[in-house]
Amino acid sequence: MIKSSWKVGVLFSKTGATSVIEQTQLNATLLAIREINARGGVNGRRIEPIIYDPESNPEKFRQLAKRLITKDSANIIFGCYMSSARKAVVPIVEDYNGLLWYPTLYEGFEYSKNVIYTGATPNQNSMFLARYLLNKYGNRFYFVGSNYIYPYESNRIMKDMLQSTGGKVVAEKYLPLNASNEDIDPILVDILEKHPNVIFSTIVGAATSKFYKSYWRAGLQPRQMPIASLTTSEAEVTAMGHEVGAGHITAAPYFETVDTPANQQFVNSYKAMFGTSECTNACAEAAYFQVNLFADVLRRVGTMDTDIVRTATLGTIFDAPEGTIQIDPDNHHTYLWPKIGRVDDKGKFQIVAETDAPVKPDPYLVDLGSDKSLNRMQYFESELN
Amino acid sequence: MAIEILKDLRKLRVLVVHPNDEQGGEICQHIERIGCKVRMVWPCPNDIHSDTDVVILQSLHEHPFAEKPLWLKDEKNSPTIIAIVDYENPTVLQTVYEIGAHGIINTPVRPFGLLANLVIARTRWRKELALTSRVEKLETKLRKIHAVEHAVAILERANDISHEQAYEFIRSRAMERRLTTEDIAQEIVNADKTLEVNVK
Repeated sequence: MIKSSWKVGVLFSKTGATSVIEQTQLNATLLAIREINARGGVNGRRIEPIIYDPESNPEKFRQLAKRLITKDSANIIFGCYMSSARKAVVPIVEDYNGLLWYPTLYEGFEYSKNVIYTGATPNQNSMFLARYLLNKYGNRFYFVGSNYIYPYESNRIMKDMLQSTGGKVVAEKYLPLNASNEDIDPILVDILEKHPNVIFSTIVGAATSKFYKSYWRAGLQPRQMPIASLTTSEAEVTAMGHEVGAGHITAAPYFETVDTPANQQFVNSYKAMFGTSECTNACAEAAYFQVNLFADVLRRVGTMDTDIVRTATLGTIFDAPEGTIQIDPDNHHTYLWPKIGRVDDKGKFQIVAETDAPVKPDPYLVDLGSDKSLNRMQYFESELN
Repeated sequence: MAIEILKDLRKLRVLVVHPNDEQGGEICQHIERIGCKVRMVWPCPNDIHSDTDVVILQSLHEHPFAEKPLWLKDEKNSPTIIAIVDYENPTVLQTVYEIGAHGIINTPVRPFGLLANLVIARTRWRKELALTSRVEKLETKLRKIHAVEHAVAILERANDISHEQAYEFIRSRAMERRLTTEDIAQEIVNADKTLEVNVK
């Protein structure tokens, strides 16, 4: 008798504004599923992904999530990058009692019992980034971001942290999601004029490399005035080229350069499957470990029932590429390892600071400036010079 | 500002008046996730601890108050009140009105919306408190002004002096005895009442 497969939904955009990063999340998801199936599946049954392309469009995300649950009987969904896409899918998984696994950093202030959040919350990235930049580069910040909720909220957090330490926001600019060079150039002119210590960029998607390239063409020096980001990952640096990305800063719980056996294995299999020039990144890593973590849970409970899977998922500890992580039973988010990386001459993120233990997610934390876990970040010696 | 209220939320003590069931548990868990200190109690107590900042109150239609609990009667020290309603009929809305709720939560309760409700309820409560205290001060002030005017009129009539002279008399007496003009005025008004009774 042939056993039926475990059907799961997969919603990452292959087209549209954020397809570059979402494609890596899709890759990592499919890699995890392929590896699980190569080991004989889960309890003798294969995991079968049902994949749609939501085209970076929240309304498509909503429709496809509904289709996955109601037509394809796939109540477990891996997907979403932008907050607007997640916000469109959450009411669907709540109404039909599905379970969305969301592998992307976001701005916090959300909890749904129908979502498992495996990306970083602001207390696992923004908070540490602000402290690092203030200490190393100075306190005059220039904000530039894409025009939607994640950049607004990230900027609000950063502003709040700056205010509590005497920092100053010299400008706050927003670009359309599909910004062109005509949108970007006036901002570069303004940056040259205001000459901040740090450019904090919350630009996402294709406009990211356009912005970094404009900075590079203007001949600005990352040593004196780096672009700092939460979303510029290996995927974006590959897209812009390593000479453009070199010297800039990103805070994330994972970089491809993390030195763990689990990461070695992840990076090797990823490159074997998608090509040696392809890179992993924090969003892809979360996409990868969340499928593996789910498979572990499925092995234990032997059912796709949302309530049973959710209950078994909460508290689960897993050996992820970034280190040992855990799904927080209090808020469905994930204990992660905050890090700060700086792009080197070869386009690789060198980890310049990291915490000594995973940090509890606190999606409703408002007063980040005085949080005790800030002191857990350890800076590497070369950074002190 | 909203951000100040949000920061303040982490210090709040929230009392959830709700049966100890799944919904009650979920409300408490989400309040904890937000970062407030939470306690659940059922049935509705007559007295609550004086350091309670917010009360979330359930099942109004099933347990209408034959008599308001004491803590609801004490309007000056009333906490922020958020009512959980499962019907929108006039009886339920009347109860919501009577308890002076600052916010409403609908059932089935979803975590989404609870934070927004807390913030808006807390904002309304603060404004209400500030307005009540301002009205109180104004009322007192008005009473005092009224007393001075009354006393001035009495002095004008009794001594055949001008308005200004009468007022100056009250003011100088107040200075001499280190009292307020309102206190002196009140004494004059009281004395006038006493004399009136004696004459008749």
